Amino acid sequence: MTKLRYTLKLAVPLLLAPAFARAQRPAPYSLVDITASADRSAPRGAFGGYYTGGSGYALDLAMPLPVGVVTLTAAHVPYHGMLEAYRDFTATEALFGWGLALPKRGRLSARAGVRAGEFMMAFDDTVITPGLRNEKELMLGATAEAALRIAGPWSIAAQASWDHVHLHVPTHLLSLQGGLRYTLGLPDWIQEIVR
Amino acid sequence: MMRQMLAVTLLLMGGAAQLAKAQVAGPLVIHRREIQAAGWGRVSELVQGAAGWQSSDVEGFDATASADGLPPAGESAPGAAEWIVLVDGQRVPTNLFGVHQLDLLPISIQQVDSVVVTSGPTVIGGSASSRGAIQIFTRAAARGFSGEVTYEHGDETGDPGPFRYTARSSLNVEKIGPFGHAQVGWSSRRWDVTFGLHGSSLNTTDSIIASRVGGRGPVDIDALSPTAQLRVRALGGQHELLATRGEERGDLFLSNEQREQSIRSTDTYVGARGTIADSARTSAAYGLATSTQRVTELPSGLPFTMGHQRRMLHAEASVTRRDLGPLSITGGLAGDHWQLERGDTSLSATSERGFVNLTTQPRADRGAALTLALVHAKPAILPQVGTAPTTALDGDLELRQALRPMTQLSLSLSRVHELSGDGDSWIDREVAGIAEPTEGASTSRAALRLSQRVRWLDITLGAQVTRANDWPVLDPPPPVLIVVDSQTVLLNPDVSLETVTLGGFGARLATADSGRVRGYVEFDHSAVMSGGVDIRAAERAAASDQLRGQIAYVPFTDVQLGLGASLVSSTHWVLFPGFDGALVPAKRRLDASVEKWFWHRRLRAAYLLENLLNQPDRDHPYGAQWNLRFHIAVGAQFGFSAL
Repeated sequence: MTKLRYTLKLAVPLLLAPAFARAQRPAPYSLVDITASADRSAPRGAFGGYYTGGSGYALDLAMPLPVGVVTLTAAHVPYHGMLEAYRDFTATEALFGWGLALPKRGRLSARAGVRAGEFMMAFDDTVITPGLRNEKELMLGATAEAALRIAGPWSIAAQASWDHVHLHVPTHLLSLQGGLRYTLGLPDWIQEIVR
Repeated sequence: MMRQMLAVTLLLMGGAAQLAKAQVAGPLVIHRREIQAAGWGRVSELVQGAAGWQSSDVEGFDATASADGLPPAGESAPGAAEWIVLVDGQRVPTNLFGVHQLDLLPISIQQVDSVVVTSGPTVIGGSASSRGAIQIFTRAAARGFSGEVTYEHGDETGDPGPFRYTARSSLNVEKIGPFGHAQVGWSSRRWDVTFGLHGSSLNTTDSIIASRVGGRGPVDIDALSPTAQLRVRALGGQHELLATRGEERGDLFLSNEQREQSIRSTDTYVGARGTIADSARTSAAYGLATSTQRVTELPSGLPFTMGHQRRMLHAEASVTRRDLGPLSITGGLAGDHWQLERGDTSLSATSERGFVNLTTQPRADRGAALTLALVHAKPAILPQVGTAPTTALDGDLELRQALRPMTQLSLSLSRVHELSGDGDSWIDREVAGIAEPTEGASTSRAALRLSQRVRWLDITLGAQVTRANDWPVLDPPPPVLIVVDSQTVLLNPDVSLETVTLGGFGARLATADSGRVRGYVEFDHSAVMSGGVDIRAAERAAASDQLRGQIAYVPFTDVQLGLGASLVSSTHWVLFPGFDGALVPAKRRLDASVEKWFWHRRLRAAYLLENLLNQPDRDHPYGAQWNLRFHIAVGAQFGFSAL
């Protein structure tokens, strides 16, 4: 039942694909959205019983493809143990994703997608073997975001994401991001490289 | 098990008839594009693609495999014959007590163009193997300056993460990689040169391994190999020099000792091979090589018994005539000198081999190839233990006949002897304290193969019988370490020589390469037809059924999706702890990959997921059990035709 629930959560963006596909789309590879944002992650389930989420920051890059949008995300978020025995750690997330855009409404744009990557943990622990002070784990998630263009290439953007970290004890995170976006048109030679 | 295999077969076949390539009783060719689709980042991983070969490595770093269905190392005794590795025709020693350190080869996996995998006895020029061979061929660079850098790392899921500080902790913090490779080269019309460096690392905390090495923290294994390759096109042919001095460090599990040794293994290889042709009708070939494998102890609490150094000198020369009608004849001589240095002891053995190869193709629809080799070997341990110089005749015959335009039948017969003093098996025996056998072991194989092309699909059915004479198996109880004069040494295990006959059959379905879809699926089955109780028990450690498949799909230019499946039946290891031995469960593994190239294929990024079903993925009773794991690989290159 739990697996079914997770599958449904991840499948939502794909089920909405036909509507998203009708969205106005910029030419493939023609631009990149650069978003710098503050990130607030809330542990869910068992993880939330031991740790509280911290406030971090994130950088997103998004580029239109012939079908959909490819995204790269880097985020840095500290987590704090509820007891001293639960050592604090800092998570660095490196994710790539794919999404589809909703039809634009004036200055408002939105998209949703799925993403996968690494959840890298650095533990504030000088006692254990150095080789064990860092871990990385598979991270899978779904995102939804909206952006409002404010002036020229500048927009404000907000994103909500739900992620599953494939630890021994399945761990889930609900993250909220808000920040500023700059849309950069790419010169031909960069388009040629990434095409 | 069979239902699962059938299900996956149908799954693979169902994708709009997108099947591809595979292996039965005949050489399997693995191309570069299949290596990329599988996501293999180290040369050792090539063994995973060798259909019919059963991997039995413990820590998932080096390659340990039974190439022919005979009992794997740990059930077979130290010094049992092993498969060989050739790089561009040069035989490079890789074996260390049944463990093959392929990451110390003088090439990285990024240099591989194709791999030919042969199972069973085979004679390849001046080298022979009674258990099969992996022949690796490197790719050529484009003219001018070229370079390449790749990086890959991975991780096994199921880490404890922050739960390590709670009652819900777990041991598992496996770190796969990083694997890295860099090379630069220059190529002109007459010559090309490449300098490379490849390294790989594994950090294992698997609970099964940790229970034996006991509280020592993670098991780290690292390998680093600088390499050089020089090709010169002159005298009507090509001449190639390969060189490396690689080092592997870490807790390496040696199956024959049934425990880890904390070792530093330094392998040096320098070899040259080339051809000279004065006309299209006559050519000559030569090969010279020297190698040293040095095993020393790393500081560790683990008992160390395997320290030694083995050296090899190899020379061969041959002449080929092609002006005898449909007949081509190659005749040659080869010689090997192996030396063992251990403490104050130095022993050496020599072997000489004269070989002749006859190849004929009188008509387009039929052909035959016969190789005969007369081998004379002088063992290192002389008559006082009953061994003496011996001579034997090895042979390899292949006949091909087209029954119809799209149907081909082939028959192969081969026999290779395992003489004491020929190869380095005697070194494994000497270091492990196994007495030299007085009999001459041999392996024979007869294989029949029927191939049929139906439109875009190649179908191959094959059957084979393999007979091994005087095959050494360990007798129960398993070998143990004892303390003698405050030094821990291996108590010499008892070995018996057994004769066994294995029968097998298989099927291969492979698609033609449409440019958009390619793939293969194949099934292999083997079983003991005759043999004593001991060899039958040991043989159960070799999987009887294997099904492998791979599909690669190119939905858009420069994007490739890959899907691989592997089903292996369970194995039973009689010499390992458990109820009447140890059971390794059947393997059901599904892998997936996505690759994207950029900038006219100069840049590459790949993401791989292995063991998607998160099922038990283990090859050995003492082996690490691998959960779902993921890899990220990136690469950049310039000057090659394709990454």
